[in-house]
Amino acid sequence: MSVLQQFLRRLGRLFRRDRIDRDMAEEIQFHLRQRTASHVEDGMSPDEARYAALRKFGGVEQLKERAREQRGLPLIEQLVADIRFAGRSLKKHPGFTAVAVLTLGLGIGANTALFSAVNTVLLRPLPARDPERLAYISSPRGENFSYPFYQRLRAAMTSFADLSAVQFRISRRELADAASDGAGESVVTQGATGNYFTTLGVPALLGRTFVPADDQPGASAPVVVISHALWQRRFGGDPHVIGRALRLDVLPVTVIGVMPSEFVGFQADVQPEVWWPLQMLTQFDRQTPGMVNEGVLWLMLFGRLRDGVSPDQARAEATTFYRAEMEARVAQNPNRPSAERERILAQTIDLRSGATGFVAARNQFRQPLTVLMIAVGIVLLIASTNLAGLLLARGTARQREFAVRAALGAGRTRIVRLLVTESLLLAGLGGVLGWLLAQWGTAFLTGFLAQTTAPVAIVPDGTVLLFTTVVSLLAGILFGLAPAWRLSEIDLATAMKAQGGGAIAGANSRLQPALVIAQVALAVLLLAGAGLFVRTLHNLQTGEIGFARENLVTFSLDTARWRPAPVEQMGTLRNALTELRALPGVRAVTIGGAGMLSGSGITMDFVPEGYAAMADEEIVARVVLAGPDFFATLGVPLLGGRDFLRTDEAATLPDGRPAPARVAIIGESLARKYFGATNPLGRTLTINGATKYSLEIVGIAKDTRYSSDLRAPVPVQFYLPFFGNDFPMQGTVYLRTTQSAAAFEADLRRALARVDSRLAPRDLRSMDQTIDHLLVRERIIAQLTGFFSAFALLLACLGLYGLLAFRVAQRTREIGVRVALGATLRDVVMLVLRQGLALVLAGGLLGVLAAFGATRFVAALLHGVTPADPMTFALVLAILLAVALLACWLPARRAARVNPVIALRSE
Amino acid sequence: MPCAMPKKGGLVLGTLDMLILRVLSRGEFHGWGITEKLEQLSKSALRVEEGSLYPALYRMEDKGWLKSEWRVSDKGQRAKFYSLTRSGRKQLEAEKESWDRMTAIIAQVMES
Repeated sequence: MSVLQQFLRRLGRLFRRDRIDRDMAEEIQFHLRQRTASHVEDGMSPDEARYAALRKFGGVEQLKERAREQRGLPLIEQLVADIRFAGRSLKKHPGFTAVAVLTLGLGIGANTALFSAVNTVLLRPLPARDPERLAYISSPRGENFSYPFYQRLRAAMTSFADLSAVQFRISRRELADAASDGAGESVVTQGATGNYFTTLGVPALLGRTFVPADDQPGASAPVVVISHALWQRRFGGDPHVIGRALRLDVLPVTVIGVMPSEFVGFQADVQPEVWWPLQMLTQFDRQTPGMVNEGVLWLMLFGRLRDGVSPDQARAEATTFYRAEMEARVAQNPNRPSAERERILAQTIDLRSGATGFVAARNQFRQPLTVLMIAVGIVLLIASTNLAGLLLARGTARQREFAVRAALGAGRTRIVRLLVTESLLLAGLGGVLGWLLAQWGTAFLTGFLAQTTAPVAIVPDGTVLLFTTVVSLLAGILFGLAPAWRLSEIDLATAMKAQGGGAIAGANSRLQPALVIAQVALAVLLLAGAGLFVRTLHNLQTGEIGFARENLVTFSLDTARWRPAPVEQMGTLRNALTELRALPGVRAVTIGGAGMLSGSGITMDFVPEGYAAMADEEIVARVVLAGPDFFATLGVPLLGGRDFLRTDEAATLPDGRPAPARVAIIGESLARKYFGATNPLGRTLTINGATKYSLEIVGIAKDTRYSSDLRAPVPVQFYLPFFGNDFPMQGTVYLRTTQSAAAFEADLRRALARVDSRLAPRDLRSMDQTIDHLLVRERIIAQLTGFFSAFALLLACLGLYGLLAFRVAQRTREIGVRVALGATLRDVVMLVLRQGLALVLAGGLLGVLAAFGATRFVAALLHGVTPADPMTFALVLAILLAVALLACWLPARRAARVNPVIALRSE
Repeated sequence: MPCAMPKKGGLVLGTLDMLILRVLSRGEFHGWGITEKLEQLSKSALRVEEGSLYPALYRMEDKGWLKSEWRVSDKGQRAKFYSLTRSGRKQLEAEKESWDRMTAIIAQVMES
């Protein structure tokens, strides 16, 4: 019989051990009975016969033991016994087990979740052909450029084999079958140039992708490419979808291709369902300036480097080209103030690697994720030192047990195996918990990040999970083993006499306090960071925005999509406002321009009447479009003059477009800065645009943050009437209501449908939700660092408690002596507290010093607090003292309870 | 290596396995039966060290030379009966051959 067969046999016996034991016992009993009978036949008495039989046979139990070892797999059986024992041992110390498993689980889980998030958001390569050869254009301002710029860049750059442009984000449009009349379904779409797919190098799954011929102006039969998801969802995976006629908004289009399911466009975080050729923009909206206007920045530019060209060469070519453009622009207008000229020339563009595509969240979240990773790393560090300390202390306390085992004949290997099994069991439990936490953690992070731009699906990364589990296992084994190694160094007899501490304690006694100080310092560092982030969030949430945010509901309306005439658009919007005003529960309605609180908006150069500008001075203001009742609805006080009137917006030009209103309401800082003490009412602002015109100032309003984001300083601003300008007709409606946004929605949709069946609100939210939405990043950081720092503090104090409790247990005798010699209760308590507080203060100071140095690296994420904010630091120290005091209190109490008689007696 | 002990002193090394195999080549026996049979065949010269019998039986079963079966004995009690397998028979042959060779060599030495 081969060795393998033998092994398998023995393995099989393992599972039937009980029955095999019984069989063996029965077999031996049978033999003994026969022998006894034989003796009885020879003439012995039954008892004598039995004894003689047993004597002849030899030790029954030893025989059984030998037989078991022979027939079984003693190694595995011992292992099973070890595991059972380890399990019992862990159950006996639930506190230790819980802390150890939690520590490991959190370490593995949190680490995996964060690393997976970092990997997805920051590092994953784009699923395209040779993604390292892709590069995109970026500027300090952002990654969006105009179409004319794209055309010129493409013509000029020889470093690129091809340069493509794609709509910077997405636009939602309606998709319907060509024949159908009603409203279609809202789909996510993106415009892209004819060479988009070829530049990425990803072929279609079905049909074909764009060719340059598809992307010509005025194409009579425009084509679109659809995503795999849309193909499955709407067309059920129909292979005959190619050539199908559809309607996108009002345009008839034909499907020419379906992309594979793993296709992700260059922007890795948006998931368009339909791609349309860029030139179609003018067909969607005949008045759009997007294809000709230098100032409409709506495209992302990326390209594939020509073979043999390095990124640096391409970058040099791009920056040279851009510089030439800027110089040309400056040369166009020699009368520019030099400050403005400097500003223009200082603009640059850069080339960035497109290997991982472009993820808007990446830039937003790069720093927060890094901060979080560091926080988790710190918590892990504290946790592992805690765990190490726990294991070492436990090992020390078990010296006696090990000595007894050794005396009973257990070899060192056996004891080591026992300890290893315990550690492995702990690590195994921790690993399971860690896996669960990793799943939950990544789902949680995905949910969080999804609130920002488009969903970024994060899944736990298998490699990271494996890595952290293995590391924990190794750490567990290492620290679990440490006490066993020392066993050979001590005298067994002494160890057996030792009182829960004994000979080994000495080596640990310097290490543990140092560990505790380090843990406290790290916890303080984290707490300080968390404190700063929490205050930042609070500042941003409650910061002055200049208008009243309670019960304010907003949504955007876009009438341009079905291309009515401008007069019709205005009429539609006005009617919508009237309908909405009539709704029950609506106290006020108005309409404004887009981009509230986002920092994007219209900027204009102007010349204030009577203001003596200095030679280099740049006079620029943000412009806010204000509809009827704007100031009243938003709760912005008018400090002087009047609101806009209907008469301000009355005129229309011959071609039906509204004539621009010639009035403005200025913000108070503009009034102060450019008009000083004089009354600005009645004065003019002159706009030097394509045509020169003047605006009469008819009112002064309080500054608002309408057109700037929450962090930027409040800009100089003035207001123009919404219905009296020639900017595109889409706006944001504001309603002051008595109901929440959700309760309202049905009524709202009906009211709008009464005006025009195609009119629907988008992004319906309350102002509070808008602000929350803008603060997702800050909220993540504040919440997560808050959580981790609380956990870190808890762990550090657990370590402190453990150390002090251990010390008290060790010095029970000494305390007994002191009390017997006259020490009061207070003296004993102070003894313990002094030790504890010394450690806490040392750690706290160390932590504060570290925080002073470290927090300046996150200054960019803060708002309203300095990195060395004294109030935050003071609060952190106070929290530390409070919690640490509690941790010291329990051992102190135990010390106080020491009965000197018992203490002196026990040895 | 477990051995059979002659009743009157003397040590015969490592032959228990071979003897058991020989006994079982004659039929199927339980452990007690093997003991009795060995006594009988050797005309009471051999008394098996009973502490060695069962370990030997288990070892040989593990190696595949024997197989066992629970049966009801002729006295109506449950006992485990052992029998030779084919590889057991081969092993018996091999051991007999090796034993014969060894005794021949020893005899040669003693008589020279």
